Amino acid sequence: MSEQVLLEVKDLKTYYPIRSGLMKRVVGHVKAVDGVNFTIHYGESFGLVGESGCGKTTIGKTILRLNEATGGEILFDGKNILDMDADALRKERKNMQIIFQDPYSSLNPRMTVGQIIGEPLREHTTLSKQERKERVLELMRIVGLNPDQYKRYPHEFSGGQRQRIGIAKALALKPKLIVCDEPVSALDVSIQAQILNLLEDLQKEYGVAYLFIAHGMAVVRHISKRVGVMYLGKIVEVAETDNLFNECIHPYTKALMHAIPIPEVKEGGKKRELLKGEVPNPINPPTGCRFHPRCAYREAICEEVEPPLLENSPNHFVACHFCQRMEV
Amino acid sequence: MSNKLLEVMNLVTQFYNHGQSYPVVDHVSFSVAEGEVFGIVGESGCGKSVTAKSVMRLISYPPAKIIGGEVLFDGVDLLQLSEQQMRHIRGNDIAMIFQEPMTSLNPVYTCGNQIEEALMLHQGMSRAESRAKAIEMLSLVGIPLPEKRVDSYPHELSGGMRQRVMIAMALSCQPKLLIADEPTTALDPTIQAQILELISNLQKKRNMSVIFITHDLGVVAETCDRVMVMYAGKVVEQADVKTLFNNPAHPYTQGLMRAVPRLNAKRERLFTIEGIVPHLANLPEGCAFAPRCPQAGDMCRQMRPVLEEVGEGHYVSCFAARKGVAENV
Repeated sequence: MSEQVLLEVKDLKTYYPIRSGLMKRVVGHVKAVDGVNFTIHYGESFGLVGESGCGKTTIGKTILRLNEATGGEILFDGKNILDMDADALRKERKNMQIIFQDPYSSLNPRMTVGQIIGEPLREHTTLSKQERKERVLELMRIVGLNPDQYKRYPHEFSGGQRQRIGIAKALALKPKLIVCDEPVSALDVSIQAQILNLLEDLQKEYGVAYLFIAHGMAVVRHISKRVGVMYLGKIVEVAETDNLFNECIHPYTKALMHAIPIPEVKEGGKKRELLKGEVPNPINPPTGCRFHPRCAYREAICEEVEPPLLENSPNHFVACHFCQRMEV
Repeated sequence: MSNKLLEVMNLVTQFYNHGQSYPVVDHVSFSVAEGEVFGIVGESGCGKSVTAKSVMRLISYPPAKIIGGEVLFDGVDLLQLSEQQMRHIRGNDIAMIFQEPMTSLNPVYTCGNQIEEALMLHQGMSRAESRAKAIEMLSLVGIPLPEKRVDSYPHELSGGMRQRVMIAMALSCQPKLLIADEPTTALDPTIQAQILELISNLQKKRNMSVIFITHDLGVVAETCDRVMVMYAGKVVEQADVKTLFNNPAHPYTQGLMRAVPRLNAKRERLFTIEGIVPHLANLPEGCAFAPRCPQAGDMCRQMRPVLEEVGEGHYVSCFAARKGVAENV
């Protein structure tokens, strides 16, 4: 795998303004993403996990500039996406696509499957109508749809098949990066496995890189080479997948792993450590380490000083004042 | 087995839709003992929720109708009761919590009001008594500052807190049976873990029976004593949780177990069950799972298998599984 950097996100901040009153003045900000750094290499899949409201979807959308960033840089193929004007951005979007969580609401019900998959080709290429149709039929075959269904409408398909339509569309322009925003969360277990396998096959075949966003740890572990764990708009831990799952360090990552019910029956009970409380409000995040109100290991420093994301062991970054101790 | 609290026999619930009629729950039988947690697992559209709603008689006609079977609760057939008698049982002896804590709470009443309503109706409490009890219930389910939260509206609470309010409401009348329909599916993992532990603690404390409906095999493994797996409206396998996970017999159950990505297993290509769940209106002849089944033979495509015992308390509805067991003996 090439080690060239495809996407570099530097100190990215995305705030949503809160407006109130008659004049709709801005009275505060939801700091959905607050200083995030990570990189994705060519052909790599990078997983982003966290609970709802941690900012993972906002990152995905900001990278495609479906949301405007408040600060920071996003370098895609060496070019800063945040500085681009509409024209340059349109050209660059060819190389980045997105697959959404909900296969029901993300496809236009008035367009046929052929039109949906062919739309990016119409916008971005000079192919003739006939060539476009051939390409769409080929894409349908690639993602495991029956090409005879070219003229069908989305409602005639099941959830898994609709997700395949979304994947075919994302793949149409041979992008370098696909943002997969919880692509299997809405699907049944037996269908999830089919889609995950398809995404893996496509990556091998076309060398596309994935930013894989999910809240299911097991799914992320399965598909990603490296994983970042997010909490309240910050990345608290990043590591190679096996590293992270074998020896996670941050107390939040540990709690997240413990929280997942394992489909196995073991002798002698299933005791585990539970995380107390809930995710705090991102309008007024806690001072210091954002996780400290729920952390079992917190000390005075955690309430005052925000821990930076530091390399704890090669390629394993953690944002915790006591990461050395956690290892023990 | 100890006393059976609930016994469902040959329950059939049919849907009427566009002039077609088809069973959504097809001759389903199971029993839940006192103090037992019974799981119903399956993918969407397999009939697990309709089974639970049929037990509660929360089925509206049209489109659906219970057309056969018996639901014995404490020896009384619920299907023979009048609507008025049924109302005494619902919320009092059998309570239910739903998947969506936002849509199942009434947004225009405070949480306290909604808990008090059941107490005044079923237990004949006065307003003051029921309010005190509501506060007690809210603190029991771990809501901080229950004296204040009792006057909160649902929109002021987070998803996890709302689910706690639902549980407080369901348990306020000390039901003998709690039906939990995907109670944690809409919640985040750390909150899900909290709610699962809460339900399980309360279940033990009160020796309550619970029917736990979910599609998550992990949740089943952690909470249930016995499990039944449903596919296309039918029970395909039923066993105690240890047998089911260590020794699944039906190819569908086996496939489900292998299709889940795991935290601890080696990362390799996932096993898939090919194809999709068939529509209930046009099920294949023979076994409903046959078109997706790697072990299906000619017999499976022509005849419908029935649920038969293959081990102690282990029931499977599959020709191949039965043959496998016979060969092993």
